[in-house]
Amino acid sequence: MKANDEDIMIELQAGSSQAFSKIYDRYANRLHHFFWRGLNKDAELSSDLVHDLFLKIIEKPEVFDPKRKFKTWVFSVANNMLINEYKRRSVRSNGSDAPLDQFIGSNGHYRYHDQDRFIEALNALIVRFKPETQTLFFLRFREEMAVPEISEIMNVKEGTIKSRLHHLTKKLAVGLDEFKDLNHN
Amino acid sequence: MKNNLDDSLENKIRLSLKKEASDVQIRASIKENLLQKLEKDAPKRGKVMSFVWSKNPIVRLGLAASLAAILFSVSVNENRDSKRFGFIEALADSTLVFEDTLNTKHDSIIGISDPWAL
Repeated sequence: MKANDEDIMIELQAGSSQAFSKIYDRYANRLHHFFWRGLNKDAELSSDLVHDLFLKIIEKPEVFDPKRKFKTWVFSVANNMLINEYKRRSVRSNGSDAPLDQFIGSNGHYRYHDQDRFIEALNALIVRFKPETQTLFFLRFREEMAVPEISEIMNVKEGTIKSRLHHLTKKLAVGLDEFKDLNHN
Repeated sequence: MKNNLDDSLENKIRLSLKKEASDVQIRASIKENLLQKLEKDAPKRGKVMSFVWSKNPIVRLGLAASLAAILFSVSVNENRDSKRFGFIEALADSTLVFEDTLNTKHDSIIGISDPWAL
């Protein structure tokens, strides 16, 4: 039976390197992808941030309370690190996402027939969102998290998350409408 | 105008992100470096923790005796200084003396001019 993250963290708190290996294998690439998306595809910086995050876990494993869900906790830490990185770079996040009408037929001049081109089109839409919306997109569609988890990670009320998700999916639906019948192999 | 993602489109997004994740890989040396760090620190942490939480009766007796000695010392200070001092005041007073001993070079109450000579 697969051990849950919280039990692995208890082992790690006792100094087990096997436990570290397990938790790292489960989360390192996911966190790296999270940073990579949030940092304009900067793979090196994303690797550094994953390193720093796991270093904190090694140095102070006791800061994690095993009564909490590890996944939510670790993405909260990652999100805070990402926000710090935005502050360091002076990325302004108080703007707004591009308005809905900018998503209508926004990909009409392309002819996407395969998965790579779909990703390209998707990315072209995502970059029009402000950083918080991009984080929301990742947590919802990549990590498949529920609203309460996202709310805890982003430190935003559930109602606000629901509202933002509504606007996000609306814009994705409009922007990607032409791909809905495309076979995705 | 379409307002909601249909399942097919949502599925495409998930698959795209999954593929993207497999294409973007973290630097391989990171895990190795962190494991080395963990293994280097583990003995120190393990020794301290195993000592503190030791089930050995002699170690436990030693810890209990140390605690008793500290409490006794505080109690003696309290009686010696003044009945006016409460337990907390005496503790604060002895802490100040201790800090003074460590941080200054003037004659302390134990008569050593350079505490680091200890």
